[in-house]
Amino acid sequence: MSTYEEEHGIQQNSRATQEIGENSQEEQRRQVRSQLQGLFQNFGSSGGEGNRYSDSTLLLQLLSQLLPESLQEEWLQEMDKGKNAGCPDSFASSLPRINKRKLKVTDNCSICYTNYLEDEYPLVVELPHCHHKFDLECLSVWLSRSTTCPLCRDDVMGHRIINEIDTTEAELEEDWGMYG
Amino acid sequence: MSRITKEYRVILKTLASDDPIVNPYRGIIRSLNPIDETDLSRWEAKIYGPSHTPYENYQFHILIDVPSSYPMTPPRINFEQNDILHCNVKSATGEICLDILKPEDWTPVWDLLHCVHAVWRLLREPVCDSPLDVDMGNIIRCADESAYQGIVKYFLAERERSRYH
Repeated sequence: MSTYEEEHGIQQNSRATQEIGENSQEEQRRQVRSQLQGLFQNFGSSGGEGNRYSDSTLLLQLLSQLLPESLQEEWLQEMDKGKNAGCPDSFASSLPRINKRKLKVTDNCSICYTNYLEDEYPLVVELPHCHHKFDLECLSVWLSRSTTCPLCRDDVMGHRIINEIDTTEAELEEDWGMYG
Repeated sequence: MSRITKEYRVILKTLASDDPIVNPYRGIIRSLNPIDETDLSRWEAKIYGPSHTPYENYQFHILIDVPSSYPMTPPRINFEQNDILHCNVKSATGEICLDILKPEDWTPVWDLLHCVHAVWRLLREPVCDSPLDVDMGNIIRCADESAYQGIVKYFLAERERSRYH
């Protein structure tokens, strides 16, 4: 979304805060201020990550109501575009590479159906959380249009925040597979 | 070697086998092959009607377009025109409404065999919530099993008659 829209939203909001502050009690003022703060925090973080977190979608929709009607539609379209698009380019290249020695002869990429070891220098990466492996080249193309794992539909971008909470079991299983 | 070329090899090997482990599609997919050997972008398939459905004992002809962006985008799959009566198929055009073939639900790990198998399963389990053929959808929604069976069987009998007479 453009800075103009962002500024516009902020302007209108701060004006609203002022009005309420003048006409009401101290406590109400504080409440409104903290609410707005939360709103802007969410707005800021989702703006930076390209609107990919569904939990901030509602807030963005609410915020969009503060915009003039002519801009609202444009903004909502922009949001939809963000939803359909894939991960940022840097995401796929930031994924951990898999050492050639850890690849079995039968392992193949489920996107191109090629055995990794057919290539003398296979460039294989692993997705966080679900640990599914793919050729970097194949996965990059897929992640430029989607944010899900091709094998299990796990939302690969979704775990960057809640990673700590629910990966413990998956990691445990993976470890058993590696050493057992 | 491109992915579709690899698939072609696998398909030939799979469908030629009598071993149910190698070929889990026996009695489901009769054939799946490119229309012209030199062009792997246009395919056709023949599937058997699933047993215990009104489609039993009939065969259905499926046309497949494989886009150049495949497998990143799904293949386009249609029945032959006027080949089938089903609540998720527009009979006149053969258009199929099947979630896994929509770009937002597609994943590149699926291949043509999966897709054709999914179409076969659609014959067994019609989805009346999103019908392309609203009338057929309504009949299923009313749970009027005998009407549904009767209409489909009549359509297919007529289909056979117009083909061979």
